[in-house]
Amino acid sequence: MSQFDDFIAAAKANLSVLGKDSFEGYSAEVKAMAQSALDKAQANLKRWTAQLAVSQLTEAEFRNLVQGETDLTEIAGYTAAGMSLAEAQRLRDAVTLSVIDTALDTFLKPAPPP
Amino acid sequence: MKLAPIARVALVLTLLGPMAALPACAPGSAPFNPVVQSNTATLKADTLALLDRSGDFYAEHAAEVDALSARIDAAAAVASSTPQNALAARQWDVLRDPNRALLGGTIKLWKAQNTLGLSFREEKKIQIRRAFDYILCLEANKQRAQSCGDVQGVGA
Repeated sequence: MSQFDDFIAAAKANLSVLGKDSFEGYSAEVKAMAQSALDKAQANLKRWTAQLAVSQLTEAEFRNLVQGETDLTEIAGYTAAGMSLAEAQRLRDAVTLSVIDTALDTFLKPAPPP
Repeated sequence: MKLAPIARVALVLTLLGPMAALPACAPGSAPFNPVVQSNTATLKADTLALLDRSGDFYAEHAAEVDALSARIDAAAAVASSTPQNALAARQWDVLRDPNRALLGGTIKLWKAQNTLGLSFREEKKIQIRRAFDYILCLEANKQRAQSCGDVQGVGA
C-alpha cells in the first residue's frame, strides 16, 4: 500500500462524514451536492498531499492550504445568511481537520527504529 | 469527527464554490452599497495580482503588502462600522487575520518563508478568489437575490 493509500485510509473517518450515509433526511439535491463536495475535498487533499510528499509544498504551506479551506468554510457560512456567528465558528472548529495531523503523521513522521 | 447538520450543509456550500445558489439577505441587513462592491472587486484583483508576485522575496514587495493590507483594513473598518452588517464584518476579519490561513495568514507565511512556492501560490489564489467571491456575493444579495455565480466574474 502506498503512502497516499495509507493516508486516505487514515483520513477516511474524517471524510466519510460528508458521505451519503450522513445525509439521511436531506433532499436529493443536497445529497448530490454532498457527493460533489466529497469528491472535491478528496481531490484537493489528494493533490496537496501528493505535492507535500514530493516537496512541492512545504509543511507550512500544506497546513495553510488545509486550514484555509476551513476558513473559507466559515466565510461561506456567513454568506449563506441565517447562520449565526456562533454556528459558523462551530463549523470551523468542527472541520479543523484532524486530516492535517493525519497527513503530517503519514508523510513527515520519523521512521520507526529498526 | 461528527459534523452538525448545519455544518455539513455549509461545508457543502463552500466546497461547491460559486455554483451554490444562495438566499437573499436576511431581513434587517445593511443596504446594498455599490461603492463597497466596487472597492471589494478592486481589492480582489489587486490581491490576486500581488499573490502572483509572492514567488519573489517578501522584502522586495513589503511596501506593496503594507499598502494592500491598509486598504483591506480600511474595507474591514467600513464593514464593521456599518449597522446590521455583522456577517460581512466577520468575513473581512477572517480574510485578514494573520492567525488564519487566508490573506492575512498567507502574508505572514510569505514573510516567514521569504518566498512562496509555485504550487502553493496557485492553490492559494483559488482559495482567496473564492473568499472574495463570497464577500461579493453577500454584498450583492443585499440588493437582490442571486447566486454566487452571478458575482464570480466581478473584478476577476
